[in-house]
This record gives sequence, C-alpha cells and structure tokens, in this order.
Amino acid sequence: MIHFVEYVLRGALAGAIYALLAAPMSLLFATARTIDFAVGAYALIAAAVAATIGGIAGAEAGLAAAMLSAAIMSLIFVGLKRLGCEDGIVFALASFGLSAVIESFVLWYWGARSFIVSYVAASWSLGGIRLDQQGLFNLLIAAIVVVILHVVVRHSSLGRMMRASAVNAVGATLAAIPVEGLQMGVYLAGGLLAGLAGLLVLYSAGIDFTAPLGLTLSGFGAAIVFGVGSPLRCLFGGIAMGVAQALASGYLSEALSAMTPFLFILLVLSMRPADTEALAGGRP
Amino acid sequence: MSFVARRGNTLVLAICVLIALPVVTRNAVWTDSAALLGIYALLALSVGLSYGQAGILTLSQAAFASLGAYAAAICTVRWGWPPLADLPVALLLPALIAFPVARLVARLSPLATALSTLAIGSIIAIAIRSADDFTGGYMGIAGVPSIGFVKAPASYAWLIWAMVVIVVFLYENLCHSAYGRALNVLRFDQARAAADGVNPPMLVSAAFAISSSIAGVSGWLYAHYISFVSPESLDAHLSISALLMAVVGGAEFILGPILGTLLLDGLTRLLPAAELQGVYYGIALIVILLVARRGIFGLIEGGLAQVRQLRRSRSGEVTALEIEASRP
Amino acid sequence: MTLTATSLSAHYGRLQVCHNIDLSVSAGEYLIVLGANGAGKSSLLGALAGIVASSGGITLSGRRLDQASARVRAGSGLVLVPEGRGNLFAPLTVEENLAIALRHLPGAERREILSEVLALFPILGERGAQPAGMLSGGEQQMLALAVALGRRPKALLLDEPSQGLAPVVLDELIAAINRLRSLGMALLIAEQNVRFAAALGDRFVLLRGGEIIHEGAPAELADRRGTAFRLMGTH
Repeated sequence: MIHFVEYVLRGALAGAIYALLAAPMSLLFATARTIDFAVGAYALIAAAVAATIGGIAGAEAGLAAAMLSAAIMSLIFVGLKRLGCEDGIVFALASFGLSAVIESFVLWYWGARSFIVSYVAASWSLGGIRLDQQGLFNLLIAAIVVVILHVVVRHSSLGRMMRASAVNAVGATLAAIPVEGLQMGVYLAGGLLAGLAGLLVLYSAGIDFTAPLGLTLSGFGAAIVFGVGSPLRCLFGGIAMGVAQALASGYLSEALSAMTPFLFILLVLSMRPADTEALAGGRP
Repeated sequence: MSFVARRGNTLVLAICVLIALPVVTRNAVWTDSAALLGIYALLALSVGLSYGQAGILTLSQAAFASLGAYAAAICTVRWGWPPLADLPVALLLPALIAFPVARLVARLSPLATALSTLAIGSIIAIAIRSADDFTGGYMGIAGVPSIGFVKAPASYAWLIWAMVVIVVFLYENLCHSAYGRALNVLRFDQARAAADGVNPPMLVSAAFAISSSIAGVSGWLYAHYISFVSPESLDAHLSISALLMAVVGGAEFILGPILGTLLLDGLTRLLPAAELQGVYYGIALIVILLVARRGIFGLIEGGLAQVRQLRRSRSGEVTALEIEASRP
Repeated sequence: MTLTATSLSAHYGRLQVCHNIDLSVSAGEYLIVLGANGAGKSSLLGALAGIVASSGGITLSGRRLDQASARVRAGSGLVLVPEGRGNLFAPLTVEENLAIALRHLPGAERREILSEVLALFPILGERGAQPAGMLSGGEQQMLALAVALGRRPKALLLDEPSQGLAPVVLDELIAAINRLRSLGMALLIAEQNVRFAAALGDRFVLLRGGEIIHEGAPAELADRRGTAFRLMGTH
C-alpha cells in the first residue's frame, strides 16, 4: 500500500512537467486548430542554454532562447497563412521542420551530452514516503501557471477573444479582433511555457537532444486525456499521465511505463470523448 | 501506347537507374551511398502512398521498417531460415499491425491520425527495445546473412534499386486502378466518395497497410545489406526524415518522394558536419512549404499548367477550374 | 453620402464575380440589394466589408476604405452581419458575444450602448447567460444585429437576415430593423425575399450576374408581373 501511495505521489510530481507542455498545446489547438510539434525542442534549447550559462541569468537566457524559437515558428505560421494556407496539418509539418532544426543545432553545438543541473537535492519525508523538493516545486509552478491560464481564458477579454477566434475566424475579423496577432501570441506563450518546462526538467531529471519528440507527445497526451480546450484539464491530464507512468513502472515494466503516453494518445483518440471531437472529427 | 503512357513514371525511373547505376557502382563509396539511398527512397515512397494518396501523414514508417528488419534478422539468425523465406514475414508483419491501427484512427482528423501514427511508431520502437531475449534489446542482432545470390555491395545496389523500380511499377498500377481512383476521389471529397459506395476508412486503412509493407521491405533490405540491426538503426528520426523527403519532392506525385530522397539525403553527404543534417532537412522543409507546398514536382506541374494557361488565355477565356489547378 | 462604392468589382482569385458596381447609401437610408441565389449579393457585401478581394473605390463618410483591411473597416464603422449570423460565436454566451462587440469602448459608453441595444431587443436581456448557439433563429438574428450595433456602425451591411426564419419571426425582425431608423445609419440589406425587402427598403437595386440591372422603389415590388420580378427571374 505504501508503495502504491508513493508511486501515485511521485507520478503526480512528474506529471507537472507534462501539464506545462500540454497547456500551450491545447490553447494553440483552440485558437489556430493546429499543433506545434516543436514545443519539446523549445524545452531542449531552454535547458541547453540555461545549463551552459548557469544561475538565474542562465534561466532567463534559456527562456529567451525558447521564446525566440517560438517566435520563429509564429513567423513561419504567419508566412504560410499569408500564402493562403489554412491547413492545420501544414503548420504542424512546418513545426516538425523547426523541431529538427533545433535538435540538430543542439547536437552540433553541444554534442550528444545530456544537460542536468541540481539545485535542490533535498527531499521531505512524509510517513515513510520520500518526496523531493524539486518535484514539489515543479508541481507548484505548473499549478500556478495553469490556474493563471485558466483565469485568462475563461474570465478575461483576451480569453474571450481567443475563444471567439477559435470558433469563427471570419466573425472575429469582422469584430475587429486581431486574430493573427492572437495566434502568434499563443505560439509565443507556448515557447515561454515549454521553456519553463525545459528548465524544470533540467533541474530534475535532465534532458538530452533525443528528448523533444517524447516531451511533445507526452504533453499532447496530457492535453487530450480529459478533452482539449481547458488549461485546468491539462493539469489533471498531466498528473494522470504521470501517475499512470509511475504505476506502470512500479508494478508492470519499464517498457510499459515508457509506452504509457502513447497508449494514452491511442486510447483517447480512438474512444473520442465529446471534447476531443474537434480534434477527432473531420472525416465522415 | 496506352500501356507505356500509363507507366511513364516507371519508365523514367528505370531509364535513370540503368544510366546512373553502372557509373555509380564503379566507386565503392558511391555504391554504398546508392544502396542506402535506395532504401531511404523506398521508405519515402511508402510515405508518398500513405500521405500523398491516402492523406495519412505518417510518422511511423521507420518503425514499420524496423519490423521488417527485425523480421529478417530473427528469421535468419535466430531461427536459421533460408534467405528470401523471411521476405513474406517482412511484408506481412507491418501490414498486420498497420491495418487494425488505421481502422481505429482513419476516421479521425488528419492531425489526430498523424499523432496516432507517431504513437504507434513509438510503441513499436519501445517494444523492440525492451524484448531483450527476442530482439537483443539495445545490442541488436548482428550477423544477418546476405540474400543468397546477392553478396557484393554493387549487387545490393542493383537489387535495391530494382526493388524501387518494382514498387514504383506497382504503385503506378495501383494509381490507375479503380482502387487508386477511389482513393483520389476520397482525397478531394469524402462525402462524394462515400456516396459512390466507397468505404473511406477501409480504403484508407488498406493504403496505410500497403505503405507499411513497402516500409517493411526497405527494412528487410537494410538488415540484409548492413547485416546488423539495433533500435538505433531505424529510429523515429528516420520516420520524420522520410516524411520530409516525401514532402520536399512532392508527396502526391509517384516519383516525388524519390526525388526528395536524392536531394535531401544525397546532398547531406556533402555537408561539413553530419550533426547538421537536421538543420538542413528542417530548413529545406520549411522553405518548400513556404515556396511550393506541393513539393518540387508540384512546382514543376504548376509551371507547366501556367504555360498552358498562358497559351489558352491568348486564344480565349480562362476557366475558373484552370486557375484553381495552376495554384501552387 | 455615408457609404459609396464606385466601380467596385469582387474577385475570387482571378475569377471576377461582381462587375463595376456603383451604389451609394445616405445616412438613415435603407437600400435593398435584391437578387436570386448566385447573383453576387454576398460577394458584393463581402467586398464592401473587406472579406472578399475587390477593386474599385469604397468610401465611408468621405473616408476611403478600399485599401483598408477587414478589421480596419469594421473599426471605422462599416459593419457586416454575414449570412447565417456569421458574426456570432456559438459556444460563447449572449453576454460574452456582446462584451466582445463592446470591448473597445470606455465603461460608461459601454453601459449606455448595452442598455440601448437591450431596449431594442429585450429578449436578449433574458437570454444573457445562454450560449448564442442555443438561441432560436430569430433570437440569433437579433443578437447578430445587437452585436453589430455595438460597434456604433455608420453603415450596416446585412446579408440575408431573413434566411431560415419563420414568417411570424420575420415580421418581428422587420419591426426591429425599422426601429433602428432612429439611429440614422446607412443600411444595406442583401435579400432574395421580396416581401421582406418591400417591407423594409426605401430603395432597391437588382443584381444579376454580378451587375446592377435595375433600380427602383419598393412600390414596384408589389406588382408580381412588374419589371423587377421579371428581371429577377422568379415567377
């Protein structure tokens, strides 16, 4: 029993990172009907830069690098739109391209090393269960970010405009809503949050140049488990996935644990709950 | 005449191979490159069939290729099957996995389908890596024998490119068959296809299964040629590379993926640092998406259509359809 | 003149759908653009609002807008209510839809316009917390009008407001649109429902094949064997 509780708690802490990656993904899907596959790469570049420079300045430079990368993606997005592309899959393809560029740049500049920095090694003991402070800190950050996002989306004018442009882009233009600007902003926010996730991974488990794809997919899995469209669901999705992964690794096998995010994705998409309809629908 | 005209792509490819390979195989390094390029070309072709024809943006082709490769390695090394006996396994195994998965996800939006293929690819990769006793885990399987009569690298280059020509021939036949035409209708108008009595998910799933078989063959060739497979041989990054190759060349055109492979992978061999491959691929993809969304072949076709239209507009009216067709 | 279009053409790619249209609407005037399906009504309104590519001149109260983006035109008071109430956001509530329309205004003015709009369409006050998509067709059209009015339009373009509405609801809508006369804006309504058009318009133009082929007064529309009917091709 004690093991079970420990797995659940550890999994929940690990899932915080997924929530940070999932939140911008669900926002981008809601506002631009596409997916940014480069979020994992933003996390990688943030971690690499932060590890190289070190300290607070490093963290800031890391976030800046992630946002710069996201800014490039948003420019590619606008460029494609201006050229008459409305197909979400093409934006997604382009983000694959950018992801490949970033990963390969990191590999070329830093080599195949993995990045890890440990500031807080201490852990608390709670009735025999050890919880590392960095993990709790990660969860706290993720929860704060997600709550802020939730309030912005649900209760602010900005959030209203985002939801409006998501459902009816022409109507939003007619209402003088800067649709393209909003979508670019969401890409940038994705860069910031993914950068933050990258820093937290750097301070906890570490990251190397092969990580981005897995991070992106884990984030996506967390974003859809409870239905896309709300940042709060992303937090629960991230935690659920972290817990499932921890349980699989504790009771079944490492391989199943590694498969968890992918099984989540397949399962959720094939069951098509009402909220993933927007993502799942499209073919008669 | 009609037989020849309907197999234009095969003929062009066959002639190119017959001219280029004798020259290339005089040099040992080039021969090796030609063999690998052929394997990648098959992988890119499989993407072309899946994405260009059936509309499934697939990110699992390398995983299907590794199924083919491991099928070859396990059948020959572990079970001592004679060479060539493992080919049917390499063909069928990927299809047996791809088909049910496609049935499950083919009704989803293109974006969701793409993600599902990425997920299934990752699951296959993890399964292979963790089935230590069977697949050798991280160590992989060494000592895969050559395919009987084919031993020298030059013969492999010939065999591999012959395989590419055969696949293109079958692919072209498929495109001209009722099945291929139904797929084509499907890409433009799902409702129309369904009204015509086509079963869209079934059709798309079959195309995905065939495409996975092509990937399986490329893996089979890889295993026998390199004589070694490991989880790193055909990893997820290769799936993405194959997709980029197909898109850059023009995924919906039969020869597009092959052209893309030659351009991307051929030119990579001239790059100063191998680590920069991703930078080069990624930028090539983004530029292609911005400049010519239908790939290099699409650019050529658009150019031809414009010339035709220019001639027409001198003599009379331009129809809306033609304008639509000439868009890049 | 509040709204003028001179030699205006609308394009989809290289395909031209409206050809050299000249029209003008003065403040307080209701002009009906009549035409059958495919006559080019929606394209004309889209070209005026900037969501369909166009060439030619467009001025609103003397300000040239033909080079401005759809967003700028909407911001300057040239407001379109697209076909099928396309300016509504179905999952958002009535209140949220109105809030988006009024968001650029300072608080006091916002409350003033809101009460004005709710006085025109009292039903919207009762439906505040419901998603726009859950309203009846007539209520949605009222909300679409209210949202457009929230922008304080100098010229309002309505694309087939009668579409999909029952005759009873249609009468309510006619009354509501007639109540807007006090606001003194130029109104351009694209319609194929002749009864609706005759009940609202001060003047009408008839569109066929993307060209204005006839102009006249509503009285003319009462005669089912008159020129207008003949030209429109409805019998």
